[in-house]
Amino acid sequence: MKSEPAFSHSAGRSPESARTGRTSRKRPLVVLAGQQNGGKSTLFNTLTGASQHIANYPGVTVDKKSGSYRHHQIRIDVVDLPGTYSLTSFSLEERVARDFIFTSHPDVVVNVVDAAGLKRSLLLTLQLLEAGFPMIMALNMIDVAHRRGLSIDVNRLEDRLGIRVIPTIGRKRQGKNALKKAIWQTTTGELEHQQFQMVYEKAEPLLARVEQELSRHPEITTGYPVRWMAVRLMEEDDQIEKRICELSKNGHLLLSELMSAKTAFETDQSLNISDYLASCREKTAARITRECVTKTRADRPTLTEKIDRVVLNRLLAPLFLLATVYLIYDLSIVRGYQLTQYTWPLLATLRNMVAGLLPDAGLLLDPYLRALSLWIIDSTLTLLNYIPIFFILFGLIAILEDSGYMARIAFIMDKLFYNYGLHGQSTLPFILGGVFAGGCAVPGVMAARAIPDERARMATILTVPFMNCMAKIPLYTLIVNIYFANYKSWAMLFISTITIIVALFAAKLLTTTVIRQMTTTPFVMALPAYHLPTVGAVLTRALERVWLYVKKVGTIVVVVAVIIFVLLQWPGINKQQMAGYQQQMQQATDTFCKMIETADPHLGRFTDSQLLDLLNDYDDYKRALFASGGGKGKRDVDRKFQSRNELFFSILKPEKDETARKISRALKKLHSKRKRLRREIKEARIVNSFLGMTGKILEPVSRFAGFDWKINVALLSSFAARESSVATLGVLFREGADANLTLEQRMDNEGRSTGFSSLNALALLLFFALYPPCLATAIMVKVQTQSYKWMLFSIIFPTVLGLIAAGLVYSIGSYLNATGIQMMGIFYGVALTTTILFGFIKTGNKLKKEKIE
Amino acid sequence: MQISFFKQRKPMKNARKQSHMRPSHHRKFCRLNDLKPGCCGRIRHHHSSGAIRRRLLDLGLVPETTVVVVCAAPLNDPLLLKLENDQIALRRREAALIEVETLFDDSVS
Repeated sequence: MKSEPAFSHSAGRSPESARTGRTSRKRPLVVLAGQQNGGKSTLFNTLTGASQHIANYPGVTVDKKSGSYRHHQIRIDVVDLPGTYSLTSFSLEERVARDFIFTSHPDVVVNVVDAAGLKRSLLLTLQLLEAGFPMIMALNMIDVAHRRGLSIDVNRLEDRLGIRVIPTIGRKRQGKNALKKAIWQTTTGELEHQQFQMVYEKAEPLLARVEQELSRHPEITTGYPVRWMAVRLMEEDDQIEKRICELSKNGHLLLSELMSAKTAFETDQSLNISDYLASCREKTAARITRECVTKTRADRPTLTEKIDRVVLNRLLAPLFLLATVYLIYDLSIVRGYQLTQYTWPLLATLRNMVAGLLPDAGLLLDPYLRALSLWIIDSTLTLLNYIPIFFILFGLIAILEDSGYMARIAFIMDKLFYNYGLHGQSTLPFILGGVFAGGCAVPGVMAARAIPDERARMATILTVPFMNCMAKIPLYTLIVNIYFANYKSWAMLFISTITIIVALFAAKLLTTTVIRQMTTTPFVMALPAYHLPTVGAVLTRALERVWLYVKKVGTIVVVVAVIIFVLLQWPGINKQQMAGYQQQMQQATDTFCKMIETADPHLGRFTDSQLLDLLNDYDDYKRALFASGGGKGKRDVDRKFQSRNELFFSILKPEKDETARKISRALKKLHSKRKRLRREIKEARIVNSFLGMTGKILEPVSRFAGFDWKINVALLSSFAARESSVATLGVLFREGADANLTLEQRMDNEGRSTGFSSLNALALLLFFALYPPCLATAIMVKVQTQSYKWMLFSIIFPTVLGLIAAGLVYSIGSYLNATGIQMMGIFYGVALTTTILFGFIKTGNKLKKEKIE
Repeated sequence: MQISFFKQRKPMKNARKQSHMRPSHHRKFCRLNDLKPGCCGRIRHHHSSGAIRRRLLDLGLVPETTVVVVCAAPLNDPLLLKLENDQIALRRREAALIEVETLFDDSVS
């Protein structure tokens, strides 16, 4: 795991400033520290309201949430640290939280504590107190504690810890003002604390000696309390060890001296010092809890336990899980898709508005500005079209997370995923990626960051793109409708389950080979109590994530669209070809002009630019009529175009006059000729483009899987955005397009003549299912893994896997003379058996720093 | 008494041997993953080190604490543990690294 070199910004601060937190910062800084599931984020939202934003901590993919609020006319900054169980440096989150505290020197540390689990929470509190910053405790979710029959003596707790303790209920915004007041009083120095100091009994002589040695080296201890450092060092903290070696000239010597003192102490007392220190804290926490918490009634099963008895029941759990996933699918993908029917017209209007601002279309070739702008807009709109779906999806996920069921899903699924080198928490990324059909790998890969196990996280990131994202579905439907029309439901079942089978297979393959050496961490997690999610929190989270998606993907899509535009346009067709097209167009316009002259000599001859205006007007008029919705809208459109150009309008919408009708008919003919020529040019351009050439170059290889160059081009262009595969095929299979045949019929006709069978179709289907992630996902892989190497790998690995699968199916199928549906069955059987068998193979685990006796 | 649970690796081995050498009718020791659902045990010591040990201690699985095995996941792994007021999920792999004293004689599988 890479992270920023620890403590890099701390040099130069005096130890005093570290302890008192008085720095030259203008605004006071408050950090929220606490364990996971302690309601820290809710309290953060309560404090800061809407003014917050999410960024990454430098160099790592841990979310840094920061915000601010105003108190007594002064703006106070708040940072929500990642949830950690302690202040050691074993996990990335812990390191990040710790580094942030010591580099930013907050004015107040608010320790958010789960009142119902006080003892466990106190372990972190004691470590935070050692760090020596002014501290306040927010005793959160006090209502849950009360419901469980726990009564907490707040005054006594304050007395024992020597800090202010504010009971809060983050979800109900209770205790907010008291907390703000306490923060204010602490920053102004009104509230002086005599904070509790941990005493480590037997280890005190050793700690005193270490402290003494360390304080002789100010270059090491600057910015850190010496005591804190001594304790950490005795707890085998490798970050502190590294710091000593790096910052001090004879650091290695000092370190080995301290370590030998430690060993001597351990042998002398026959105890493990690191365990002893932990147990001292544990005992202190237990003592304080005992003194401050009283049980008002005997233990009885909590509501959470009662729910868990049903939800985690061996037989019912899978049913609940399936029902949940189905509900997510139905509400977000199916219903969300219906919603897009209402939102799409809005986006289409936007597109037409922009199109109106751009330079007009040319006769055969459009100005680059127009073509490129429209291309970018179209690519962006395809993406924005998914927003309703994502909003529902993210909202539902937020409900699952806040309610506490998400942790249970991880618990239920862990065994299955663990067998394939994944993790219980891989479930969420897979759901987002589209388990059945419909999802998106981008939020899927984004969600993988929550997985604490490094190897499982990498395996998840690399396999989520195998899921069926929404953009894969149009091509699936197209192919299934043409080649598997009689077995539609079987083919769809095949598609929606084969991807999971292959993803598990690939995950196992990767964890036993390429990423075998990565560290894994044990699956230990606290299952939070069930909570009713609040509407505000769910909406905020859904909006937050949609915005993140739009921001991250939106910027990438623009860049990618430009690149693909260039690849599809250049080098383009040569001058001779172009001259040919122009001649054809010239002939058509000449015929049209002659016709007008004979029909109505008064009109005179149109100039070229007039003619172009007329044709573009014709396009605009038809489009406007289409969008008007008939009736009054139609009359408005008529009036608009009439006022724009009286003469043109008389041709666009001829009255009963016979001549005008004749002219109008001729215009229609000219218009369709122009449309046909433009399409021919477009196709010739793709053929002669970089992408088209690559498609042809790849043909010898792709032949094994039965793909010709046209399919290659479609597959290549779909790397930019999956949606475009069908569009590209539409352009390439254009024969018969003028006869109003659907793309299905056209591909079918051409397929018959070139021998494209259902077997070819199956190979294409398979390859498309296993096809590398689209560019947006690939970029997200880069963001999440912080490495271009893995991004490249995430592209190459599925391509090879897909080519092998498609190639095998096609070659074996041709050899056996099998049909597509037969081979589909065979492949499914083979894949399923292999994957199940694969699950039984044990993976060697390289647990971090683990030595099992 | 407390301290003996935190002995270094070598002494700990001896401690384990001793516990096996003198079988007791009232005190039975086993690994946490051998406890059946519904059974209860008191943690004696950890056989892990480094990150795992730290994480287990952080979660409150500290020697002398009483743990109840609530149930196993539908696929028999991980285990759901209850200690004090917390529910904790733990894979059998890691549970096997925790030695417990069973609090009821008939609870060992």
